[in-house]
Amino acid sequence: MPERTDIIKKIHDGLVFFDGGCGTLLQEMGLGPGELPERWNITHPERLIGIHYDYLMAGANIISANTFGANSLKFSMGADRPEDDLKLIIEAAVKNARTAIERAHAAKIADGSLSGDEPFDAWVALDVGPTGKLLQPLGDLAYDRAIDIFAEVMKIGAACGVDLILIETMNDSHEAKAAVLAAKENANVPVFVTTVYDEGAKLLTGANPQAMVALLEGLGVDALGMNCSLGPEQMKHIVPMLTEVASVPVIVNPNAGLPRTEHGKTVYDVTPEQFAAAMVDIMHSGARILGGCCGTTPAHIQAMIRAVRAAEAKTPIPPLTEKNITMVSSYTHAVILNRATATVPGSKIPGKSNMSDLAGSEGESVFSDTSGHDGKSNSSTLSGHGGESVFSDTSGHDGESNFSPLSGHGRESVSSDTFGHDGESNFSPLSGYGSETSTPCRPVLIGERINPTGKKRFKQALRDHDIDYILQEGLAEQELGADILDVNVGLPEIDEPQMMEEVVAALQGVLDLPLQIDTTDIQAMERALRLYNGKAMINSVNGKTEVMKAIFPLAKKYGGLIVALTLDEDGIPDTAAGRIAIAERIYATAAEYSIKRKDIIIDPLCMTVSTDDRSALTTLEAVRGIHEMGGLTSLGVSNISFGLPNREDINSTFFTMALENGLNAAIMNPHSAKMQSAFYAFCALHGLDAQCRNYMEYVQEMLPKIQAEKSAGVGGKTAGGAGSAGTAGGGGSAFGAGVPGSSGSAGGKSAHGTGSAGSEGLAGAVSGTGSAGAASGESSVDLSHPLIRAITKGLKDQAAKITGELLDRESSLQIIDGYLIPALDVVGKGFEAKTVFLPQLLMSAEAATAAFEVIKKRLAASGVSEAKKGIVVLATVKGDIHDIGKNIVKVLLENYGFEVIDLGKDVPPETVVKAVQDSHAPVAGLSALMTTTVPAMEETIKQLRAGAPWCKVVVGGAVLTQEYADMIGADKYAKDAMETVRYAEFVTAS
Amino acid sequence: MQDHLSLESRYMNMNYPVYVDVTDSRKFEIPLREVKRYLGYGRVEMTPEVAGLARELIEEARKIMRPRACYTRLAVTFMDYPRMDFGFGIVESRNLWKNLSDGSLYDYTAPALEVSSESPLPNSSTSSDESPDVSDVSPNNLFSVTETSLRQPSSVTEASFKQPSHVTGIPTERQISVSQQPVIPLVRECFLLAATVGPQMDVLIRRYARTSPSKSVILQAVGAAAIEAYCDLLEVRMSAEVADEGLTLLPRFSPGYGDFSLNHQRDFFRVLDPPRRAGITLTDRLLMVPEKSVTAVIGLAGPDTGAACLPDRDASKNRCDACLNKNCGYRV
Repeated sequence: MPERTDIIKKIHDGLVFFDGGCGTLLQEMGLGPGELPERWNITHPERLIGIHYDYLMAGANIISANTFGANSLKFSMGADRPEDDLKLIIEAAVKNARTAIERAHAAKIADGSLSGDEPFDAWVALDVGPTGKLLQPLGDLAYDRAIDIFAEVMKIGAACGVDLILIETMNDSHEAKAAVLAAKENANVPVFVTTVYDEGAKLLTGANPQAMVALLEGLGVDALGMNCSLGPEQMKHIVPMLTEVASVPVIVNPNAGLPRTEHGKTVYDVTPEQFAAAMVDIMHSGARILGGCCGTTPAHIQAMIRAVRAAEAKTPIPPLTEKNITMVSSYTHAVILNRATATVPGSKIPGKSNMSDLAGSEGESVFSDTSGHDGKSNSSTLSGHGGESVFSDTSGHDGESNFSPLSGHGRESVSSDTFGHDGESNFSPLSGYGSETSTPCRPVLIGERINPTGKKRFKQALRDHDIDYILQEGLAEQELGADILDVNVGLPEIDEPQMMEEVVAALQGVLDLPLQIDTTDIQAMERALRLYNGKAMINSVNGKTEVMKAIFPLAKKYGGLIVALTLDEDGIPDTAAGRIAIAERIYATAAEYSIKRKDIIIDPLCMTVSTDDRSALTTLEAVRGIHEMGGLTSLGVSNISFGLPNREDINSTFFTMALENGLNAAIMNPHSAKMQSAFYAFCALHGLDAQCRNYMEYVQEMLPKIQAEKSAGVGGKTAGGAGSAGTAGGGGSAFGAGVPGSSGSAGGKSAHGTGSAGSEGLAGAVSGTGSAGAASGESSVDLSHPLIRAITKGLKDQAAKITGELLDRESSLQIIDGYLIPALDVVGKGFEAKTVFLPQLLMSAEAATAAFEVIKKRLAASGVSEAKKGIVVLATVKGDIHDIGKNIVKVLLENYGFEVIDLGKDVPPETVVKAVQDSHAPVAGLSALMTTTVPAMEETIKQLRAGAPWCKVVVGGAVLTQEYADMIGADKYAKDAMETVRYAEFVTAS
Repeated sequence: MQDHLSLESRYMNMNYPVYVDVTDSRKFEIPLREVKRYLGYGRVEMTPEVAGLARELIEEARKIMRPRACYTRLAVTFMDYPRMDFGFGIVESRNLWKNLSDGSLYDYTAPALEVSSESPLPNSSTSSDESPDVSDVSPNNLFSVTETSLRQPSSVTEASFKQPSHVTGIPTERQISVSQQPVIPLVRECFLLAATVGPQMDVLIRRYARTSPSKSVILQAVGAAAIEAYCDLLEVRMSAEVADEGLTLLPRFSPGYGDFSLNHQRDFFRVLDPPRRAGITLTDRLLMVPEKSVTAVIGLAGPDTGAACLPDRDASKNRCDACLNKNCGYRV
């Protein structure tokens, strides 16, 4: 092998060139439609060598071995024919590439373009493409399995001696992460990653360039960028989005334009000259590793290299710089924490392209410093205008954006005028502040509600494995504008690592806010960080040696912004100087692990002012000190008022003082009106809110919601505040007509005492009451009763409110049997009679669920646990990932007093059997939508008969009929959710 | 320099062109009437609350959808009934054959059914050179249909698929049998299409599944209506592409309909490479992800292919009238 320079050095020193398209060239040579190109490594090696050779002669430095689709989903190990064998294919691919390099080297020496003792900078990359499957929970490929599939390939590539690994054409951030981990864990070579962006500058599953940079740099890749799908013209506006925030070299491999038809054939419409010209512009945007993808040929690469070298000779490319940007990210977007001193997410100026600001970029960081808040812009030299943040059109809460939680659309970046949505303002509750792009040029709010400390209801949810409850807390925080969510599931009696993994997976499946992993359990931390789809915040590390030793390696491997508490083996220093000293030590130790200062955020801790007059001042001094050093700070402000009355006022005032001293992030309760108001007021007063628009929107839209919540007793107590307010507050009009239901509609069967809310046990008398109540309640259900009306009309908020009021004078059992169940029965009967349809049934069920939540909370607070009618295990069987029907059944069963163990979807028979055995459930409900999964249902039933003979099996789902159900041995076929509920009641009553 | 590679070559040709479409979701409407239909309302009106929620969710869906599609054009050779050679492989399907001969839809038959040799068609000719009198024929008159009760399939896995998998269905209890095999000359080419509204819809549906099942159910129906509307839009474009050849598109027909085996999804994926071109993937069980995705064969009928009944694409007309599946739960 000819000698060459170190590739890492080379990409930092100057330009490096990739080869171009290969598959398209092979098709021209006769590769059939649907034929796997990797097979030709064995059957037509000379063709591959020829292609590689031509690219080398055209000037390419990096040759991608023909291994793009080589993984165990398409090939196997130890196959009969060599061209089906994964290992042989990869080995042949690398060998072909090496052979080409040798021949090219010889040719270059022969024609004099290279002398014998000069290095020949040609490297072979293992080319790893996506699996073609989407990861769970979207698709059916498990994340760990994806890592294993990639790991197999990486191992073989490493054994073949590849010079680097190119992970390319990734359209999902999670899959990209799986591939990078596989590479890092199984090979010791540089890792490059390029992903596919659409014209809206997003990956298929939603990630924008900043999110990808945050994720990939956190994982320690050596270069990153984009490839495929677009031609160089279409990529031009996206490249700067990468080069502005990336500290590693940026790779750009476009297609030869977009395909179009000409006389019935597909042609890529960009000529080598056009390609070359566009690539020169892309080079000027800061990309340093250039090549081509589909449709490009050696001619394109050669033209590009010539043009780029010529341009470089005239204007040398600036050196690569480290960007001082502190970010965390979710699977869609990044949140930047070092507050720009520049302005503000200002008014969206129609038609203004972000990227016009890039003229004359000198490569300085976008956020040049974090000191001071003089409101003046001294940010980006990248901006052509004074004071505009580069992301001004798309960032922050400019009041004109559309806060969709799902990054897909909403506040589009640049291309919003031509593609996507033009961001009509819509401060929809389903949004995160700045959730679309990254930059709040302002402090960041971290929601604290996912934490069992001091929350009985939450603790109960953890014990019950009630993931939905946790999700709802998270979603509510998002609606209230949290930028990041803290996630803490630490409870002694549960398996914390397992729960943490599940909760993180569940949260990132439904919302796209970055998460802060909050745990002292190292296993839980590792599992969460491994699975997390983005760059997380790590809560926390501190000055203790053993803690740093445990956490820093994890942070280094998985990436993350590390929260560092200023305490150590000697405790918490009394003085600001003492705390700052610990911070310095933490920075220094982190540096030993090559963790940069920008990836650390200091929490100087606030102790309660009730025991130490100076504690607030000490903390504030520490915040200011760190800030002036250029560091970042975060605080959990509520602690400051522990032990005092009227805590919210102290908290919010302290919050403002801390912000004034430079605080970057605060862990707080988004449900607290005072905290929110303090925050919005601060931003408005600091010139961080153009025309106070955000503040006004907050006051008009969010604040009333928060206040309404509070009076309905939802959203929990704010730290130490008075218990849920507003019981009698509601004006009492609802009860003017008396309360007919309370004694009457239960049909007089159950002899309830006069027990006040929650004091009676619910054991015993419950079974059979529900259905009996329904039978007798038919004629006597008073549809005008406020709670019954709220349920039948599906008015969720009203149902919760009224229930809260009723609980002061009636028992939970009275409410459930007297109003909730009869109301549900009315709706259920309408559904069966086809006068009421599924959406309405569900709206009513949700209203009932909201009412039940209020009751549950009251019971949890008083320490009573509800007795349930019985346990039902539900599952969508193996091979099937439809679960809406099952979820509807779950909601209804819970409404009717059953405890539901929901195993989810794609559940193997063994898991169902075990769950039934462990819980001794009397009923199991199985659902399947597709004919191809009915056999799995049959198998599950067989295993249940053997392992849990007492259990009755009810089946349902679109594909099922009475005939199928009989054929597979089910006890009952339920054609809709109500039938399942009736059957469950029937079984448990007997 | 090897001669198979010319450094001057500028164009890359592919053996079979695959066109890619990326569309702004604002380019097509999601009709409320279709959402209502997929919710199973039939002719009953939605309550104002449900309708309001449906409208809201339509708007929300349009903001997050990222429709993408890819399609190609293939020649079809009809072999012995009911086998057809599509180039990527042989498909054996009575229902697809029927669709490609007269555009009929949703004619579900149990695969174990025999085709009886009864009297010939009213308008058929025994000579395949004569084209039939197109004006007299409509799908409802073409074959004599008898209603039979559902037969027990010999094995569960071979049973026919009752509804497209992107629509949650209510099983029908009776099916229609074909008693006559067609003798009309058939199409020569077809489009193969794979289309999706994108994974963001899946995420939103799942999010609502945990927080608001009613919204989730309605959004499912919105998603089904949306992907169908997108396919309709694509068909308009595809029609324009073939109009100057005198060809018209037949109603699209997907793997999984009737006896058009779901296994052919694998062939679609080999030929079109939808993961790369449109972001559509296939699970091990042949389900597509994102969920609101469609693959379909779209026959190309011309004046000389004799395809008898071309679909009436007037959007205001009730499409259910043309469909043979009279017991469908979504029929209006």
